[in-house]
Amino acid sequence: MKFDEYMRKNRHQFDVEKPDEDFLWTGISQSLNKNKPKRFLFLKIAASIIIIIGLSFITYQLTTISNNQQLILANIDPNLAKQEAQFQDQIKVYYKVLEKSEYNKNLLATSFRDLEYIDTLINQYSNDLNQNGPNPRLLNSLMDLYQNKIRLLDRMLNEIEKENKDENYKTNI
Amino acid sequence: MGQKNTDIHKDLIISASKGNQQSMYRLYKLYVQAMYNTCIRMVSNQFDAEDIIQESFISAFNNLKKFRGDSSFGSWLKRIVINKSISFLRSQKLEFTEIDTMQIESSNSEESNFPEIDPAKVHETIKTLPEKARVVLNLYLLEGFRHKEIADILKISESTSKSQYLRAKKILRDKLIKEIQYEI
Repeated sequence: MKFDEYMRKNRHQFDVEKPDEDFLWTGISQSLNKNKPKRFLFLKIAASIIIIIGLSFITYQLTTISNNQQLILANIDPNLAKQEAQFQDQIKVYYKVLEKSEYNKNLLATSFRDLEYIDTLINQYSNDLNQNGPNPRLLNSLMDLYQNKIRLLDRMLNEIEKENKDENYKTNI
Repeated sequence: MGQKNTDIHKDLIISASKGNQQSMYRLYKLYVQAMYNTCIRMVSNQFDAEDIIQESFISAFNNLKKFRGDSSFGSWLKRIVINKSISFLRSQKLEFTEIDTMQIESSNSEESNFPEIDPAKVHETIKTLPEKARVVLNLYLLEGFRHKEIADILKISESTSKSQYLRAKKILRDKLIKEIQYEI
């Protein structure tokens, strides 16, 4: 094989150096956050205060004037509902990426059972909220569950990525 | 990157363009190693490459809405990395001067089979090449640019690009063959 041909054929094997990914991402992430207008920070703080006041008020209403209200997150607080929608969007995106990756889920160390368990808890908490009305602790736990699910999916994608790298996945880049 | 991969990452790209940092992080994880290796072969210094990679990803994520999908995301990102690497080299006073008259004799042994060699050695040896020749070799041989495109990017003539390439190739080939002989 001629030199040029040899080099081109083996091109993707030359990407041998591993950068300090966490260090680089820290800088990138900080810069991306710095670029966000400061008014968003103010709006976030204001929104958080409104959420807390709103939740306290609703909890008070429901505990003192208790009746059989059927509530879902969208009825409790539009901001929380928005956050929930963002989490669900992210989960959808990750599922799509997982589906499109040609992976063998039996080979993954991260178990799909963990995901199913989280889904079960999400359903339970949602039912509790529907039946018993908003409870700030339950709402926080529900948000934590969404975040845990995203983390778990992220870990799965990392595993798939690592597996693909071993099989010269980058030859397509 | 081919069409298939463009489709695979489409959802991540759309989500990242809306400002979702988790999707940005996933894209970063997918591409950072390939981009870093391209960059460090261009600038040949870890710290400079790290700065350029950070700037490139920041620029890409801030301009993701401008990405129309005409090329793959990987190609688009790599073009940003290459442009920033060249800007950096220019800021270091590197001038891609004309060397049209330079004659490089192609070796007869070039036609013979090139033996297998550790890819890490090839990567490291490229980094030791003289700057101008190294940039042209990287662009032409490893990144698939044509001499005409290289001439436009570096603001040199096409023949200078070809001369620099032949020079770089000869040095690289000789160095690698020495490495192989040393191992034997």
